Parts: sequence; structure tokens; C-alpha cells
Amino acid sequence: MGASQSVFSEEELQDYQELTYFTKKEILHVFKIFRDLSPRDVDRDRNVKLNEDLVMSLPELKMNPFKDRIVRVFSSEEGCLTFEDFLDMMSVFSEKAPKEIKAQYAFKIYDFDGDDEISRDDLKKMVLRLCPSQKDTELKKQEVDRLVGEILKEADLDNDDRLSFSEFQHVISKAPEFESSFRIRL
Amino acid sequence: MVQRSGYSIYLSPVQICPISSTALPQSPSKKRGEIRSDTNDEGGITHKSKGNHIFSLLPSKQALTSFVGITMARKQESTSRKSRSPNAVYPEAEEYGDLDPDLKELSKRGIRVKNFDDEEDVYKTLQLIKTLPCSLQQKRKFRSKLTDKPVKKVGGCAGWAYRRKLDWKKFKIGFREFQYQLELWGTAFKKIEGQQGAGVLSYFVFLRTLFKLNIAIFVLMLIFVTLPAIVNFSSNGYTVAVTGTGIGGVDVATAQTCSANYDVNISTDAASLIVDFLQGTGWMESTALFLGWYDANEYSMGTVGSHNFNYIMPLAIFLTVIVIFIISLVVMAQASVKGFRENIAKTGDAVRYTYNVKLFCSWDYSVTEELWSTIKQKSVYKDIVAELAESKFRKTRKNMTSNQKCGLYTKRFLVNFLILAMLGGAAYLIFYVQKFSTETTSSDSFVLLLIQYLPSITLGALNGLLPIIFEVLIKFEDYTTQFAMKLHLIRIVFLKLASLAVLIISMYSIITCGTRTTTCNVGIPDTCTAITCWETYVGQTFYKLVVTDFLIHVVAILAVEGPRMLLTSKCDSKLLKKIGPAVFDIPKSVLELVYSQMLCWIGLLYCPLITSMTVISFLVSFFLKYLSAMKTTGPPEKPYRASRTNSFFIGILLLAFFLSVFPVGYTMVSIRPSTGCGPFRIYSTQMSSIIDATISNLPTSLNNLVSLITSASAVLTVLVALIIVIYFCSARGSAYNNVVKMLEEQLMMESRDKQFLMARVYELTGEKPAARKKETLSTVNETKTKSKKMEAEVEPCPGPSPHNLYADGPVVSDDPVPAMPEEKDPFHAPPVYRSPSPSGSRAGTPKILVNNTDWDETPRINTSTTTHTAQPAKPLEF
Repeated sequence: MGASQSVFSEEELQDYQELTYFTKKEILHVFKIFRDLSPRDVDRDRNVKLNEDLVMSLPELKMNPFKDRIVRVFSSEEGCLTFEDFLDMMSVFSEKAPKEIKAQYAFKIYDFDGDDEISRDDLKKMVLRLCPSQKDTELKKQEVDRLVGEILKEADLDNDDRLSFSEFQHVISKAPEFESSFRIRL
Repeated sequence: MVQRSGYSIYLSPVQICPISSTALPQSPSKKRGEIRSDTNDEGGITHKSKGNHIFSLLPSKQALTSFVGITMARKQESTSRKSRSPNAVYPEAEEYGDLDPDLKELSKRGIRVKNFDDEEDVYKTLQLIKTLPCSLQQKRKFRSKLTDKPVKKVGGCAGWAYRRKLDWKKFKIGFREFQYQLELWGTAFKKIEGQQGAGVLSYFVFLRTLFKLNIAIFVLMLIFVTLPAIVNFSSNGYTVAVTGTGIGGVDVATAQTCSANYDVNISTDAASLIVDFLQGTGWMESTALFLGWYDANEYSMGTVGSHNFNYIMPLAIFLTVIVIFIISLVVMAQASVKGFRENIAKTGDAVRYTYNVKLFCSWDYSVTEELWSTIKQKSVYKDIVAELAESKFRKTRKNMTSNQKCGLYTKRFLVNFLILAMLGGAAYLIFYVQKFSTETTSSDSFVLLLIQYLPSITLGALNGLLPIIFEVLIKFEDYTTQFAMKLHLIRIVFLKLASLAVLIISMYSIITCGTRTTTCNVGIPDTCTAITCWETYVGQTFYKLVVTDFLIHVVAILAVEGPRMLLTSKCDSKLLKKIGPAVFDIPKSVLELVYSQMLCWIGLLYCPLITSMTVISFLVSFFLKYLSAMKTTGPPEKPYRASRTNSFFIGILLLAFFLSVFPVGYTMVSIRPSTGCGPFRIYSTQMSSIIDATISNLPTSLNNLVSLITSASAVLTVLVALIIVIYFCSARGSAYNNVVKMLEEQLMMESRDKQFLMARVYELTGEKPAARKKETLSTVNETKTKSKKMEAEVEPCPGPSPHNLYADGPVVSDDPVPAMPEEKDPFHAPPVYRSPSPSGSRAGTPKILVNNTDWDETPRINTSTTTHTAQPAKPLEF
């Protein structure tokens, strides 16, 4: 951490602390994680843009079936993440971030086609990513359809065959598990 | 409800154009979350189909796609309302005329950006900016624009409060930093979560909470009970402070005789030293570990001036135990508040969203291990399939013939009977064994050790074996998996608590055997067992229980799980592969913890230093469980919902707490203390005589006050007040639930209205709704016919389905939609259509006027009538 301490001035840390849900020490810790992704590049330029693929190799994201969506949602520039994007991402996933913010980003992550609604196709994609077909665990097409149907039946209040943000938020508000699962420990 | 009188819709053809959210000039970089394909063509064609643009112009959609995102600005609404125009959706343009475009955007979301009264207002706005789901650069921009103008400093009283608030905030952050450094086992937790997921982690969090609690208990005991007794041994004897003035039930003479009679055989050979250490007899008996060692003395603490400070031992012990119980209760209450809050608001709906919860909350974002992720995928799969199958199972259950039903109920009855019989047998066994081990003595020290440990071993064995039998039996009962899991857990909890309760009852019967008329409370020969010091006897029993409990944990992990892991991972045998490594069993581990904690709570009066053993035991079990989680067990396949299990743990712990407080409290107020040992030896009726003695020593005025407070009327008043508070809280909870329901309905109606209006707009502009929409809407109809339930739920107030409108609506024109200039900012653009507002007519804007009559002339007259006839079925009243 000694190296990263000198990277940020006290004002910068204060600045980040004001804009995220982290304390200064936690911000330094996040920077350390970021630096470890590619020490040479980060040492050369702190604001370097790291490639999406590199960020996806982070242990916390490596196994995540939605890693490409997460990285995309948080990247401010096509295919790359700066430290600030990364910090923002970790801040949203932190314990202190309120449920509402998490729900918004979760909605963006699960909205694969980016039409600001979770449609039947989005749901299907989600199911297939959660249980990818392997030899002993393969969801039949019928089962996927039925599952998606059940999900919409439960949550699609206005009956337009898709989940709008408010419907999604409503579901999340009824699921206390969401907060503990949508979290990355520092 | 659709208001249909006296308003018009203005449509400006110039503005009808595909607005891509990417074309925001303000946005410094590409908007986040956009999919890659649409970024290369600059703002032109997006992934969104052309026809859907009106949809994307809806305020709710714009909020979602804007660079600011939807905010929680509602929080600030009370302060910002005055600065907002009556038409909040499209405030008058003049209001923002002089504003920076970024701030304008914020202002539209209901955040106050100008006319700040003082710096506190700015501060509040800055806090709100933190909650915006936009990039850091954006937030920084907002902040710098908000803070560039000088604002008035808050003065006076409010200023002082404001600055204290800032200080407090600063302190809190500092404290968090400090905590972050001190966080116990933080890195270990991260590793565990990475490997085993949040469910297992919640066990460790629970363990840590208990560990901290026990450290606190131990320190209290050490400082207030053990250290004064050890260090300051210049006793003043049985002074007035201890005996009180003129209270009954104080017998100093007998205490002195019996104390002289009570002596402990201390053998010094090595074997008996060890045996004594294990059973808490011999040399161990006369240590500070057991209550019998403490005396009913008043210790002199020194003199300041003319005043003597004395330490009254019995009072100290009595109060410390009470304080410890209160602290434990507070810690548990604090831990359960969160889960309780969630439960109050959500229990009714938890079942309604089973599938959604399964989909949206099943993935732990913190997992790092490949093994876990494959297992999790399997578990999600199994969970989904099981849930789908279960709904079928419920259906077949309904269609069962009476014969089948009869068979099933007989089977369940038999199984329950069997389980009850086993529990009864276990209870008798515990009772008998405790009696046997108290009565039997042996000259061989090893046999004696075995006999002494027999009750603990019996308890351990029963707790270990019976759950396995229960697990087999429950399969015959044919319950749904979820219910079976719960029932099994309840049975184990019952077994654990009941076995301890039976042990306590058997000890109680031994202690109170006969009338105990002999002088020194030694028991009646032939009929009862002679126990000189029953406090120490109880203490020894719990000491042995804690030791056994600890050893069982260690052995289970090191000798069972470890070899199993080695065998199943290293050997290629098919059978072993099938068995697989042990799985981290969360409920079982939690119940073990609760059991240990319960032993600590009950034992701490009789064995004040038992907490030190509990602390050690928890510490060791943390490392062992850590080892177990990281090395010897696989993650659980059953899905455990971390938050729900957490509140469940706390619930069990609370139950255990009350079960432990009861016997301790009972002995304090109604069992006669031993006359030959312990800090209460001079009180011949009950331990709580020390309180009477202390009160009798107080000055008269205080004395009266105490008797007033403890009088029946005062207690009754407090009780009634508490009941009223509880009633009030529960009423408020149910009111909130009603509001939730109403809002849910409103959400539904609003969306219907939106669909209806959108359909109208499409109809009138002659524009095609998105092709995608059509396709999905046809699937809606399929689902509708498939599920009757859905119809029953949603149909009572059917909004006009847009699908029907498109199907046979007006001829759709294929006119190319005029493209919007790229630099055009959707936020600068005048609104495309306005919400109902009678004063909304504005000159200069090209518009299509659709007045009231036009609505009725449209071909789809029947849809609007359906709306109006059907909607009153569910009136919304706010």
C-alpha cells in the first residue's frame, strides 16, 4: 500500500470519499486491487484505461456469469475502464451502498439489449447464463419458457410481458436476499 | 384513471424523431450501459427500433436513459417542492432559463440546484448527488457547479448544529476507518465468501458476533467478580453491608459452622490432577472457577478521606450476571432488528415472488472460486427444476384419492409418534444418567471420570445421532422439500433445547431432594445424594458439558470431515466418489453455536469463568470451521438465503436465551443457597436476599423510592405502556403494508394508463409500434390462455391491450419519420406531448390538436368503454 499512498493526494482522496461509499483507506485498497490488474500500466499512468477483458479477469468477476454486462455498464468509455469507473463499480457493490442504487445497476446489468426493460428474451438469456447447459444440468427449452412465464406472472404487474424498472424495483424490495448477494467484499 | 374532459394533446411532428440517448451533447463520454453495436454510428440508428421513440420520450424512460439516471430525489421533495412548477413533469422552460444544462437535468429529477438558503442546503444536495447512478466524472461536474457560487454560512444555533453534524459525520468516517483496520478476521471472511458464498459466510458472521459478545461477558466477569475476589483479599467478614439491617433469612452463625465443615479432598498425584482438571473436582473445586469458592464478604477497597470504599461480593456477582444478560439481550436485539424490519414488511409477499427471487438473487457476486460457481450453477438448476416440479407436486397432492390420503396421514402419524417416542426415551435417559452419575462413586479414578462424564457424553451422543435418524425418517413423510427442511430444523432445535432442559430438571430434583433439613445442606442419607455445595455441583456439570461439547467439535472436524475429504478426493473408488466430501451444513453448525452459547449463559452464575472457556472454544471453532470451510467441505447445494437464515439464527438464539435466563433467574429467587460455600451462604432463603440487604442499608428516602418503583402499580403501568407501544407499532406496520398494496395497485394502473395512452398516440400519429413489441404481445395472449390464474388476478380491470389496438386499429402510415438533428438535445426540446393541463395551449408550436370529441370518433371506441366500465371495480382511494 505504500506505493499507492503517494499516488493520491489528500484532496483527491477526500474527493473520492465524498463521491463514493468508501472511506479513504478503502479507496486505497480498491486502488491496490486495480493496480494489481496491470501494475506496469497503472504505475505509468494512474488514469490508464484498462481493457475490459483485463478487468473481467478479476477473481470476483471471473466466475460471474454477467461479468461482461457488469463491465459494460460501468465503463465510461467503449471497452475500457478507468480507475474512477472501477472505483464507482466497487462502490456500488460495497456493503454501504443503498439498495436503490444496487437495484438500478442490477437492472442495467440484466437488461441485455439495453431497451430499459427486461423483456422475455432478457430473462431467457439470464436463465441460460445462470445454468449453462452441461451434460447433467440442462434446462429444456420448455422449462426455460415455463420459468420465464412464471417470473413474468409474478412480477409483471401491468401485464405487458416485460419488467419495467419500477416492477423490477418492486420485486427487489420484496427480496431481502438481494442486498447480500449483490455485493463484493473488499 | 384517464381523464377525458377538456384537454388536448399536442404533437409536434418536428420533434417526433428517434432520440437516442447516446446523442446527449452534455454527456462527456458515451452513456454507460449502452450496448456496443450502437456506439459506432454516431447517434443515428440505434438498437432501438424507430417506432418506439415516443415510448422512449416518456419521462420515466428518459430518466432511466439520461446520464443522471433515476434518483431517489423524492427524499428531498419536501424542501424542493416550492421551487418546482405545478407541472412537475415538464416544468416551464423559463424556470431553467439561466441554468447550466447539467444542473437543469438535476433539477428535472427533483434535486434542488439553486436558491440555496445556506451551506447546509448545498450540503444536502451534495449528499443526494452521491446517490445518483452516474459516473464519477459526472458527479464531480455536478458538485463543482453547485459549489462554485458562494453561499451564506449557517449562523446561530442552526449553524452550530450543522457543524456538529459535520463533525459527527467526520467522526463516523474516522471510526469506520479505524474499524476497517481492526476488523476481526476480515481477510478470512473474504476467502470464505469467495469459496463458499454468502450463506456460509453468514454463519461466520454469527460466530464473530457471539465471539465478541463472549469476550465482553468474560471481561465483565473478570473485572467485577474474579479480580476483586483474588486481588483484594482483606475481607471485612460478614458486615452489615452484606447482612443488611433487620432483614429476614440471614444466618451468619450456620454459614460459619458449615464453611468450616466444607472441605475439598485434594489429591496430589499426577493422574488425579489431570482427572480432577477434566471433571472440575479436587484442586479445581477450590479455585475461582466455581461459585462455591467466592465468599459472602465485603472487601475493603481503600479509604479516601474519611470514607471507606468497600466492595460487596454477593451484590457484585448478582448485578454482574443481570448486566450480562441485559447486554446479551441488547446485542441480540440489535442484530435482529434488521431482519425483523424486513420480515414485518415483507413476509406476506415472500412466497409471491419465489421465481423472481430465485432468478435475481441466486448469484453471489462475491464468489471467486470455480468450484463454487459450478456447484452454484447446479444448485440454481436443481432449485429451478425442483420449484417447477413442486408446483406440479402440489397439484397431484390435491388430486389424491382418499385412500392415498389416508395412507399418507397414517405414515406421518407413525413417524411423528416414533420421533416423539425417541425424544421421550432420550429425556428419560438423560434424567437417569445424571442421577446415576451423581450417586455412583468409584475408587478407580478412570472409571470415576467415565461416570462423571456420562451425562455429557450421553447428551452429545443424543444430539449427534438423533438428527441423523430424524433425517431418514422425514423422507417417509413425503413433504415438500422446503417444508421438510424447516420441520427437520425445528425438530433438531427442539431436541437440543429439550435435552438441556431435562438435564436442568434432573439437577433441580437432585438439589431440592428431600426437605434439606440437615444443618449444612448436605442432603439426607439413603434417600438423597449428599451434596455439600450445590452451586459448585451445577458449575461442574456445565464445565463438563462445555469440555465435551468442545471435544466433539474438534473430533468431528479433524477425525471425520478431514479423512472423508482426503478419501473422496484422492481415491478413485466409485462408492467414495458418490459419497463425496462433507458439505458445510449451515443450520447444524449454527445450532452447535447456539448450544454452546446456551451452556455459557446458564453456567455463568455457577461457574463465573466458564465464559473464558466459551471464548476459547469459539476461537478454536472459528479456526476449525475455517479449515473446514476452506479445505474439507464443499459448499452447500441447498440454497440458503443469507438474510433469511440470519434472522432465523437470531430467532433461535433469542429462544435459547430465554430458556437459559429462566432457570438462572429461578435459582436466584427461589432456591436456598448452600450454607457452607458461595457468596450467598449467609442467606438462608434465596440469593436475591442480597438486594433486600442492600436496600435496607440505603437512606430512608431512597428506600421509599425503590419500594415505589418496584410496587405493583408502577410495574403494571410500565407494562401497560409497553403493550400500548407494541400495539401502536404493529398497527403502523399493518398500515404500511396497506400502503404498499395500494401503491402496487397504483403502479399497475399507471402502467395500464400508459399503455393505453401510448396506443392512442400510435394510433393518432399513424406510427408503427416496435415490431418487437408486437411479437411479444402476441405471446402475452398465449400466456393468458395458458394460465387461468393470471387472468383471475389481472383481468378485473383490463386496460386496453395495445396489441388489440394495433391489430385492427387505423391504417398505419409508412411515412418516414423526420430525423432529429444530431446536436439536438432531448432535454432542450420542448415536450412532445404534454400531460393533461387545461392551460397548456402554447402558440408557435406546430401541433396536432386532438380534442375531446376526437377520442370518441376513433375506431376503437369499445376499448375506451371497457376501460371505463371495468375500472371502477377496483377504486383507488388515497
